[in-house]
Amino acid sequence: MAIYEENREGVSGWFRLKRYSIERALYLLQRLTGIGIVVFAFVHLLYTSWHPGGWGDVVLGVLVVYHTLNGLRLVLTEHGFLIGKPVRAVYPYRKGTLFGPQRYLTMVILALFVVFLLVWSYVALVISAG
Amino acid sequence: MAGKEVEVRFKVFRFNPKTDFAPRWQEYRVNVDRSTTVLDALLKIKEEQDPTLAIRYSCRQAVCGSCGMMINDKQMLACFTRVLELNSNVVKVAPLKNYRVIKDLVTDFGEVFQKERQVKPYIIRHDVEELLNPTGTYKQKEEELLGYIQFADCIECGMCSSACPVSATDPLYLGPMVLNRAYRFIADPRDLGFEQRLEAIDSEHGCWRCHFAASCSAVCPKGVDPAKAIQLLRRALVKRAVLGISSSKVSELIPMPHIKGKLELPKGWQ
Repeated sequence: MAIYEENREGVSGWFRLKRYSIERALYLLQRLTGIGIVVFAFVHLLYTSWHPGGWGDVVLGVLVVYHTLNGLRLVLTEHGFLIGKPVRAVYPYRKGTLFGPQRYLTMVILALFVVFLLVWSYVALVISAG
Repeated sequence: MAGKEVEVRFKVFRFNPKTDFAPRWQEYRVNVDRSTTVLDALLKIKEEQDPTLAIRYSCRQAVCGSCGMMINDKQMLACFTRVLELNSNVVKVAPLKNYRVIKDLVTDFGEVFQKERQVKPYIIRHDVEELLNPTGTYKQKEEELLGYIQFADCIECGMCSSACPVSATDPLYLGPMVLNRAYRFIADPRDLGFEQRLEAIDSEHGCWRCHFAASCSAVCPKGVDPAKAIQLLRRALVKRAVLGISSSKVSELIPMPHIKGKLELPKGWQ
């Protein structure tokens, strides 16, 4: 049948994370949070300045904070920064996109994600609820 | 055969699009030792148990890039992977994802080579006369060579394009293998074809479709790092758009007096 002959993974390919590097998981989350933000922004505009409130705001924080921080990382790496210069490929291979500054930046943005999310949640759950 | 032998179960993807409705998994039991590669085991199956199994391979030493396949759900070269290093009693072997299946483990690369032709994977120069009747050699510094030598190591096994989550959903996306090829020539100081390649790479299915999942680099068996090539390609495109720098310094010609005479072309060539 044509679909088996085509052998294309489709969207399920995004979710096949096992055995690949962490960047693939970050990519998947970037897509999912992006879709989430678009859905939220649509409702937010439809019913002017609507937001879920309480724990819903915390979820919104997860989407926005992750998408922003990872987006900043992507802006840097996708313009060729922090991924290292081209080198001679000598075994054992250390590929610039999987080691070095790019990886440290990934760890930094994941740490910042936790920090910003805690601040956001505190504001959403304690200060706003007053 | 050297060392202790272990029996391993092979689950092999069997599918002939011309006759079968759906693929099936066929099981074989093979004795392997620590030196047996997956390709060795598959050839053993073909010789001793089932001659109808279709595989494509050539060099057996990770140079030709023919035997890329999904081994335990990850893109690997069958000749470069020893069975016991997989640490599993069951080895699942399937054709590369995102390529059309011809039969069993053999996939069709026609489409991806068609895409590769779009990016003109060869040195483009204006001095045709010099190319046909060489009088010297093009100067190239060590640093200039280092700018592209990593990407020139590509063996075109196509595993990067198979691992790419964007290729999984966008059949028109050029894919890491092709974009790496394009950058290899753009970064080459002897090449002048940047503008001619723009149509293919500077498009919605070109290098802007990449989202840096870096899976291409994670599966590359030759240390090529296609993800880096794509990001550097983008950098070159941004440089061109913002600063107007369209290519690096073109290497000059060093005359070599001992090179004399015309290049003999076969009859009928222009």
